[in-house]
Amino acid sequence: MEEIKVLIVEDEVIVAKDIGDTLLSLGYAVTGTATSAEGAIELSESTEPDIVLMDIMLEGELDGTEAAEVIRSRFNIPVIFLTAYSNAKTLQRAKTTNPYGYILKPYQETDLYTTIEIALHKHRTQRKLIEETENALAAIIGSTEVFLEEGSPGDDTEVLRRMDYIRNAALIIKDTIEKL
Amino acid sequence: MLFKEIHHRVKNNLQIISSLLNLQSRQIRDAEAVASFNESKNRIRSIATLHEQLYRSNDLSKIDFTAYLHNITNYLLHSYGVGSGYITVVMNAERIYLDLSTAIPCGLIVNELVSNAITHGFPRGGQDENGAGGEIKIDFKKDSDKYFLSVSNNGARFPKDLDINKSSTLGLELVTSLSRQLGGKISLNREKITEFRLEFAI
Repeated sequence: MEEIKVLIVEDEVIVAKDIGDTLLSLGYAVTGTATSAEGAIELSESTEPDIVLMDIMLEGELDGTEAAEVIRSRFNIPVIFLTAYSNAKTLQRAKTTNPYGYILKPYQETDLYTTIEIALHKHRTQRKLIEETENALAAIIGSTEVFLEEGSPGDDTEVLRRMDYIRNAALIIKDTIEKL
Repeated sequence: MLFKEIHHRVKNNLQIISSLLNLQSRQIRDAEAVASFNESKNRIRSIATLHEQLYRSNDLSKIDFTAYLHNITNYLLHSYGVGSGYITVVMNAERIYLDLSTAIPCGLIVNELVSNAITHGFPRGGQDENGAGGEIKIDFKKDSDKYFLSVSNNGARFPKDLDINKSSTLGLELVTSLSRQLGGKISLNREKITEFRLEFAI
């Protein structure tokens, strides 16, 4: 199996090293450690991790939830928050970034492992569903455009064949939405 | 707000100490030494949890010790790798609030007694010799002038000849010294079950 690459974002370097050692012992690779939100965004781009473990409270302009939002929207990398207890307001903000998981510190190794595995699975499934939807939509748009541009082929069997093709693509989308 | 910030800071610093112990313990091969590091980590954690509770609460002078008991026992079961369904914890505690200077020694005593119950009472993860699941019971109550804490388990009996006041293990030594610090009395009942009782003045 391919090694899963994790980026750690944590402003206490000793805690970051501890997390890194734990990840290595669980069989993951660590692509880097960022101590700020800005560093997290930079390293997400340059080291292309499969997943990011993000502390929420960070020194500097942006906090962890803001960095997570950028990383999700710009690079489509899933983010898990790994953070000490925070107040309801922070939790609410964390929720709006669609995190793939939330681990409270101090964490147990098993928490880390299960949360990462579930997050990666969820991310892969979602990506596959999105791809399927996009392909089906392209088929529908393509076929109807041909229709609109060239007009009816005049042959009923051909019209029905094309209609059937469009309906099948629409059914794939319906199916995908139900799976989400 | 300022005090809240201090408790947050203290908790973070304890987290760093805990990480330092983790980093060091990963370089150790000797199983007994690793176990000692883990015990130390649990002790630090039991103090850190108090600061965390204070940081989260609105009243910085009092700690909800009942909530703390739940918190720390769950953590210890997890830390010793006890799966759910093996050892049952029965908690019988009134909602009692303690100040930090009482809660720290009291919390450490609970940490030691529950750790002892898990490791010595149930060395095989909670199945006692009769095949029935293990049980750890924690009672905490108070009357007009005293607190009463009891931690018991129905696992392997405590050795008959062991005097808790002359113990060579650090865990029991901490229990007896911290009981003294609280101005309290610790006693051990090892008839049918193993039960430690502590009473100390309010």
